[in-house]
Amino acid sequence: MRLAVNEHWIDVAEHLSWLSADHNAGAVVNFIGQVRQQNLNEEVTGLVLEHYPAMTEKSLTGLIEQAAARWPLLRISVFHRVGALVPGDPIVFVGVSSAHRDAAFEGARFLMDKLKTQAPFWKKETTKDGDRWLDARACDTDAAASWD
Amino acid sequence: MTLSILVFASLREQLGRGQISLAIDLPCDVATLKQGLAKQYPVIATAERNGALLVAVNQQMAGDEAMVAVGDEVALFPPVTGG
Repeated sequence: MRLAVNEHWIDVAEHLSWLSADHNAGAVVNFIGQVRQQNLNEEVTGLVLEHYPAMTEKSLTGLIEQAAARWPLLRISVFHRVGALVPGDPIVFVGVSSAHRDAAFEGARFLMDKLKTQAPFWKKETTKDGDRWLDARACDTDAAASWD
Repeated sequence: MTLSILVFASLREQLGRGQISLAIDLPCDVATLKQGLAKQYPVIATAERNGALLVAVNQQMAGDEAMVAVGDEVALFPPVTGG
C-alpha cells in the first residue's frame, strides 16, 4: 500500500510500474483526476487545494483498509496533491492491482467515490471574476452512498 | 469550559481565522455543540441551515449523536471537494 498527500508532482509512470510489478496482478486499474480548464462555464486559471492535515491521511488510510477488506486487491496506491495547481495538473492518483479486472475496477471506483465525500480536501478556483470555493455535488454523495 | 474548534476552507475565510472557541459543558453531543456554535456565529448557523456543515471529532467524521469530551480535537468544515 502506498499513500501520500503533498505538494509534489504525481509521477504516473512510476506509480503504474509499481502497481504492475506484482506478477499475480492480472489487472491494473488507475484513475487520474486533473484540474479542468473550463468549469461551471468559466475559464479556470488556477486551483488551490486546502486540507485538514491531521485528518487527511487518517481518512484515506481508512478507505484503503475498507477497499482491501472488500476486494482481493494486491496493491493500492493513493496520491493526493495539495497547494497551488494549474489547469492540466494531476490532482489525484488512485490505482489498484488485482488478479482479475472486476475487483480492480470496483476497488478503484470505490476509493475515488469515497475519497470525494469523506477525505477533507477543499478546492478553491481562480477565475477572471475572482476566487471561488467549489460546492460539493449531489451526484458525488449519491455515488459514495451506492457502496453502503 | 472553553472548547477550541478548528475551521477550514470557506468557513475559515468567513470567520476570519482557523480556530474559534465556544463556552460549553463537556461532554456533550455534536448536535448540542452545533446549536451553541450557531448561536454565537451567524456564519455557522447559515451553513447548518443549508446542510453545509460537517463536524469531525478526533479526525473522524461525526454525526449529531457523536460525543465530544474534554481533550477531543473538534473541527468544522463545509462538504469536501477533493479528488
